[in-house]
Amino acid sequence: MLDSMVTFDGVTRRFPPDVTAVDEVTLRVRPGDRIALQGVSGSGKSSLLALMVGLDRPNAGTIAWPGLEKGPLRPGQIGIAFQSACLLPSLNLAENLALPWLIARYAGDPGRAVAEALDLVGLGEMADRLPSELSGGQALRAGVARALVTRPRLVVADEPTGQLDGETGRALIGALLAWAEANGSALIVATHDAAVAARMDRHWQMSFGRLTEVLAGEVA
Amino acid sequence: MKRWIAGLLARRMLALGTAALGIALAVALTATLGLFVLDSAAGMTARAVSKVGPDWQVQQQGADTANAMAALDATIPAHRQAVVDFADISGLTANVGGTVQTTGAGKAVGLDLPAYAAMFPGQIRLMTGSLQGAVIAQQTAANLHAAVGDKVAIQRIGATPVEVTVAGVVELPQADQFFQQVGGMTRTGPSAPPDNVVLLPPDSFAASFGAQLDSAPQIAWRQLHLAIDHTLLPPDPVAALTQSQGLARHFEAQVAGGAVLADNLSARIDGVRQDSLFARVLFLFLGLPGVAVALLLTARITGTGHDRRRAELAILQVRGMRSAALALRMAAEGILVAGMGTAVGLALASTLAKAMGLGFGHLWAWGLAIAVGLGATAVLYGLPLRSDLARPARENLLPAPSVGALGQAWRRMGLDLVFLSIAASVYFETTAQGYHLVTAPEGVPVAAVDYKSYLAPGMLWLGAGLLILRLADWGLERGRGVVAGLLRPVAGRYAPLVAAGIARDRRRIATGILLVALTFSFAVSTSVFNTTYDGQALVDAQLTNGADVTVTGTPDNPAQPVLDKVAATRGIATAQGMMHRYAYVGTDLQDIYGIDPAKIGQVTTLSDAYFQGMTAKAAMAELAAVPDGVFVADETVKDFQLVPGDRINLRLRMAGKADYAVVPFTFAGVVREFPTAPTDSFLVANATYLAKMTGLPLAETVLARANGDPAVAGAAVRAALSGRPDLKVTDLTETARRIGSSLVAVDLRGLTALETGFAGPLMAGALGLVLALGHIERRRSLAVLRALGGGAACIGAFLWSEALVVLGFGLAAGLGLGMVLAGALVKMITQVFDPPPEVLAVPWLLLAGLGLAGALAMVLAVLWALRSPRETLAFALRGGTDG
Ligand SMILES: Nc1ncnc2c1ncn2[C@@H]1O[C@H](COP(=O)(O)OP(=O)(O)OP(=O)(O)O)[C@@H](O)[C@H]1O
Ligand SMILES: [Mg+2]
Repeated sequence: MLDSMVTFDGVTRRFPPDVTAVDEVTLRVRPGDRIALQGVSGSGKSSLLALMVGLDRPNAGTIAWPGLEKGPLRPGQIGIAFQSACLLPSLNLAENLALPWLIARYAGDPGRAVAEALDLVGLGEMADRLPSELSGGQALRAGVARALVTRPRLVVADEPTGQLDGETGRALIGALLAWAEANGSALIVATHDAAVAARMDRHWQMSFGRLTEVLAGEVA
Repeated sequence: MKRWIAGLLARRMLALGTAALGIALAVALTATLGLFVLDSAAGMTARAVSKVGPDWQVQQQGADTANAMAALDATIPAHRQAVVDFADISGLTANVGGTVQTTGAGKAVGLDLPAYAAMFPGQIRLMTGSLQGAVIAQQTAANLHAAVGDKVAIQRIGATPVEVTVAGVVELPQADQFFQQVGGMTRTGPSAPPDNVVLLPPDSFAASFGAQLDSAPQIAWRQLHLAIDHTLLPPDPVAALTQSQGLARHFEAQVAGGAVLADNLSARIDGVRQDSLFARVLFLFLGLPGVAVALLLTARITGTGHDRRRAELAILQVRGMRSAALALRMAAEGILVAGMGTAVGLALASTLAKAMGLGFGHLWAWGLAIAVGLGATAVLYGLPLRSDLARPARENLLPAPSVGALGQAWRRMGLDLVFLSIAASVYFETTAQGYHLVTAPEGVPVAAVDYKSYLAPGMLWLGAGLLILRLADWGLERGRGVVAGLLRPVAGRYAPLVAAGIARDRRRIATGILLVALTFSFAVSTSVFNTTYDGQALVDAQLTNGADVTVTGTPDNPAQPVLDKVAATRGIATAQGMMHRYAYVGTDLQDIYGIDPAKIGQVTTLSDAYFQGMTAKAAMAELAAVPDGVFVADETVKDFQLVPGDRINLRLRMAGKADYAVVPFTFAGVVREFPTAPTDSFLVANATYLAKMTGLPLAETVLARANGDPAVAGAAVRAALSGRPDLKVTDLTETARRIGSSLVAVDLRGLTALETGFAGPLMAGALGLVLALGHIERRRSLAVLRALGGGAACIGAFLWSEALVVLGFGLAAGLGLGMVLAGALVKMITQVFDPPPEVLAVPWLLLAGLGLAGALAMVLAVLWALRSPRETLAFALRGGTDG
């Protein structure tokens, strides 16, 4: 148990009037995990991730982060790439990416970390662009890059390849995996793309809020 | 439809409510200001005619009294009248203390003096003695050195002198009017009233001048002085003038040449007619911007809901609703806002009007207010709806077409500069010498405001508004580094990001700055104008009255002996004596004032404008240094070719001697105006020197400074001196009311209270609204910040920074614009100031209070945004786009 990063124990999240988005989920994330989270639309993926990163609270059950330090989870220990890019429209990419660095109160200038993150997702040339000057896919990639700036121990990405063509999507996942490797971080990716899921070590399947782990060898 | 409206009310209560509130403010402001101006115009008529004295002076032509009386009765059933006879005399002679004094030509008047004084209060003021018997005017008494009980011979023209015994000395405060020439030649300006006047009881006049009255109309004539029932007149000066002139014409037609008429009533109303027009000008100059600001704020609210309304429209369009029903349903929101806003506004206005004691009967004001309420909502909801209805559903689902291209065209065209230069050129034309903003030609019932002059403040307002937009825009972009530096205390490490964000959002933020600036400028311009005007009215009154409280005696009856008593009266801080005598400069008799230059400043205010080529302080220092120094009028300097240091000989009355004797003085400088001094030539010298040279040490006048309300102090002094009816006690408040143009009497303090009463909520509303709507429009961004882990420090950095930028730049721009507007207004209506103010008086405390109200609203708006509910987080995480 000591090497658990996040644990869910019988976690349930209901929304009024009668949706149970997450239903008695018990799980464990370990350092270095590469997890794919799959399931049909509306099965509760985003809801689960929101609980995991501390954006939402369960109606029942407990969530713990034994592998992380006490204090704020976001953005220093957990980085999130939202399902939509969620960039601030009045800040350019470099400024948007600097935000987590500043919020986490990291010392020094965020410039290098920001440039590296942008390079990683292939947007190195676009630091000065405003979100409105990006394509949907570019904006999503910027959102992924923003999750990496603070070098968090856990990165959660909600459908990062949703709007990308196959090749760009593959490149992005490759870069994410390489970054996680180099950084020793755990990675959870919600995705509808089997090819993306195939590059992960663990496979979680959601259906009507229930989570099952598909072990290696079984067919998804 | 009913369900739709019920739904609207339930779901959109806040949006509809705030929009209705904006409309209500505009409506209430229009109505109360309108009531105020119309009511004060009515008050002007009442006040003006209350002091008119005889409304008509009817002078008989020929002996047919019956005819004239019949015509009067036919024209004005409700009137009272007094018979007043006049006769020219060649002079008066008195033998006092062994010397004989003779005056020049003058007039004898025959009338029932006690009855006349009762019928026309304020026209006859008894100085000493009684009204029963022969009475002489104050100046005549001075000229003759005659007092009650002395014998005076009246030199009749073409007849032997008759002798009368002086029973009393009176002052005729409105001698100009009383002795005016009636009929005959048209008057060219007021003719000087005679210095030498004796008033006789009717029988005594008849005995001495009866024959002349019958046979020599060029020497003696009879007038009827009429008191007309003023309740016959309509309250509005313009209408009242038409009516009173109509009466006069009717009478002249009836009497058919049997009498001529001096229509004092119309002349008085004529005088205030101009003031009532000025009141109207002020209403527009000062009130209109307030109404405009309220409407701009409302537009900001309705603009925010526009996309939602378009989406609703699109859904109904898709469902295939027919266009008439569609239009009605979509218009429901606007109709609701118009109805609620106008009703609440009218209710608010009537509450305020009741509290301020304003009359309700001015339909004009109510009508205008209703028109503003309905018209504004029609424009704000109707026009956008019309173009939305013409568009297909799918276009209505897209965000509103940007007004960008059209809305920005003014920048390229430099419309701000165009407006400002039009404002400047009209302003310079209207403030040029000899220009009159309001013309009310005497006697002509048409009176006019030069409406072109409205262009100056109007264009200034528009041009400055656009310029503020341009400058805010430019400053937030170019001054990004400076802004970041300024924001560091609130934004900390986020400052560069925040400044960058503000620079990119500058269009939206500049609009907010503009709204705040216009609101504040409304408050600044009205309060600065009103304070300046109020202060100037006081300066004017102080110049006339001399001090807060003034006790006036005469050379024979100086006020100095009561100085200590006055000084010791409650409410009086300090008192000083001032000599007021007469001196001959050559053959010209002028007023001379003897002062203590070191102490006069303790009791009255000397303005630098009173002296030519030096400050008041320097003038007093000069007088202190030169014991025999004298300040003289500019005219006298020209007449006698004086240069500083010249000797100038005056003739003054000496103690124990009846004659005037020469006293040498040294010319010290030019005085233009002085407390209590008349508008024509006069002299100012050292009291100690006057006392030493004439042997008459007592000051005729006592000036006192009150340590509180001058009216209260005046009443106390009056009570303390009740045993001395021969001394006249006047106070500043009473004088201000008496001499001020009737515009002063339109208690501007009431107007200030009213306008700042509106400015407060507008100020708070503007800031709260601008910021709150800004937060609502950007709530997704705030949710993103929160989702990224940003706490109060991070979100607060963005919110506080923007709020402070809007508040700071808005207040600064508003202060600047308000001051310029107030300055321009003061200059443009300088016609009503006498003398014009030297500087603008700024009620800093009041403005600071308004700024604070804005700051408070800002704090509340930011705190509200900071505690934004948890659910907004869902926005950031689920579907949709940024923005
Ligand atoms: N804030 C909320 N209020 C009410 N219902 C919600 C809320 N958030 C999610 N839901 C509901 O919970 C269920 C799960 O939603 P969630 O966004 O987790 O699905 P998802 O698996 O991420 O789907 P997708 O693949 O389309 O992103 C859905 O039925 C959704 O409607
Ligand atoms: Mg999802």
